[in-house]
Amino acid sequence: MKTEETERLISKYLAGTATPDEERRLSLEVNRRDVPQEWRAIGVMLGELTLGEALYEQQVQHRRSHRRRIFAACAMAASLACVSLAGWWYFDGRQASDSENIAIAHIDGHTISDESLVRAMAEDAVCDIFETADEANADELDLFDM
Amino acid sequence: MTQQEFEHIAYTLRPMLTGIGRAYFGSADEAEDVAQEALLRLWRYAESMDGGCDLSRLAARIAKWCCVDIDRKRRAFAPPPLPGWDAEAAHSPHDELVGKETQQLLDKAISQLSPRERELFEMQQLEGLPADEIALRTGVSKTSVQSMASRARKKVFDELNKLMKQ
Amino acid sequence: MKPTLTIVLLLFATLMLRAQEGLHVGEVFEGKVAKTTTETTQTGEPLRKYGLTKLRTWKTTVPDSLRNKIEALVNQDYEERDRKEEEVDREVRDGHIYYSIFRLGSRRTELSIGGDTNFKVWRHYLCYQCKVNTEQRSLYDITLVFLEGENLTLDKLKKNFKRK
Repeated sequence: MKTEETERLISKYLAGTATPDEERRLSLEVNRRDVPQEWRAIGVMLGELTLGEALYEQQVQHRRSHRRRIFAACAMAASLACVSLAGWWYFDGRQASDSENIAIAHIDGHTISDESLVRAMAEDAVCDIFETADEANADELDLFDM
Repeated sequence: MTQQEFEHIAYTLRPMLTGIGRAYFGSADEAEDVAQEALLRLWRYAESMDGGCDLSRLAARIAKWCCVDIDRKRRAFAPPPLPGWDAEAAHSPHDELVGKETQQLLDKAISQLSPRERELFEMQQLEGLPADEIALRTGVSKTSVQSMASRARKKVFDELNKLMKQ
Repeated sequence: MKPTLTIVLLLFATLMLRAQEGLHVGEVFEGKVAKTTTETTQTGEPLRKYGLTKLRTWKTTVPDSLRNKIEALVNQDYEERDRKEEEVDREVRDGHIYYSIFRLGSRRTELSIGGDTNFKVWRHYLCYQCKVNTEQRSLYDITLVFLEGENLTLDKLKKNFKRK
């Protein structure tokens, strides 16, 4: 970020008009080494939680785009082979091997492709139903014992 | 806030906190560590708060900070690729000591504020609340919140700079 | 890149939906019943630890009328289920399904590789749950799950999906 941009964000922060996202970006800038003292003071005022949030978002974003790039490359390479395999499977009744990895979620139309989040959401849904079944069966056993 | 009240809140916050940890680490075990650490730290803040207040935003911020902190401690933490960032130096014992001293200076600067200004400053710094949410919570208009927050921040900034120069 | 990726993923999802071909709840998974939903679709390696090859989950909160519609579709699949080696865990409360876990029809295929013929049996399960929404008692939280796995059983599923 250029110095002028940082100064502009500092002015916005002191005026109380900076958005939470701008405060996080500012926090990353003013907590670098060898910054002027005034910038360090802003860093202290923004606090470690703002810096923590900024670093968190950056790492999660970095990991997501890295995973997406690998997945996109594999999906593109596999798509042609899988389309022909799917046609072969449909007409010959043979099953293509389930080596394609898909992990995708939709929440009210928004798509999420973070595998760990999708996995967590799916696991949650399934565990919920099995827990309901366990509790209901446990209640039945209690009634039986009475 | 009593411990019982906090335990009830902690129970409802735990899924969100493990979700934050899972999104960062991609592992259920580490996500549990994050949730545990975040709840411990949250309790330190919550002890002095009212029983009815909403801790979810503060909890989320603490959990994200815990992810970064746990990651840093567990391996050679590589901060984002920003020129001027020196991972080793940023977390040397000397820098940690400087950090503690600077925090004391901040506390001193904040003590100059009026109670209302201090409340506003801490709501923004701790919970990261934007002006419109503070307005809703306090019943003060958004423009007044922005104006008071600005005044408080400028006071703290000037005082902190003065103390840091000494 | 993003539109291409979406097209490719939709293509795979369409292929996956073949497994739900012929199911009455298929229209629920296709979004024809409720619009405000949380859905996940997974196939392949991520599911290996559960012993699954396909997993589809679907959650929504709906009023009475849609609850009845979804329940009717689940009941139709329940009536047409695989009764040969019956696996059912189900409870009805006040005339409505509280939860229902049952095995659907299996698919058996032949796979010939290098002269050897192997038989593989993919089993399918449907799980359904309907609970009254805790905040608005006139609404219902519905969860629907479709699972496919090789040589899957209900006991294996319950063991693999126990929350730690």
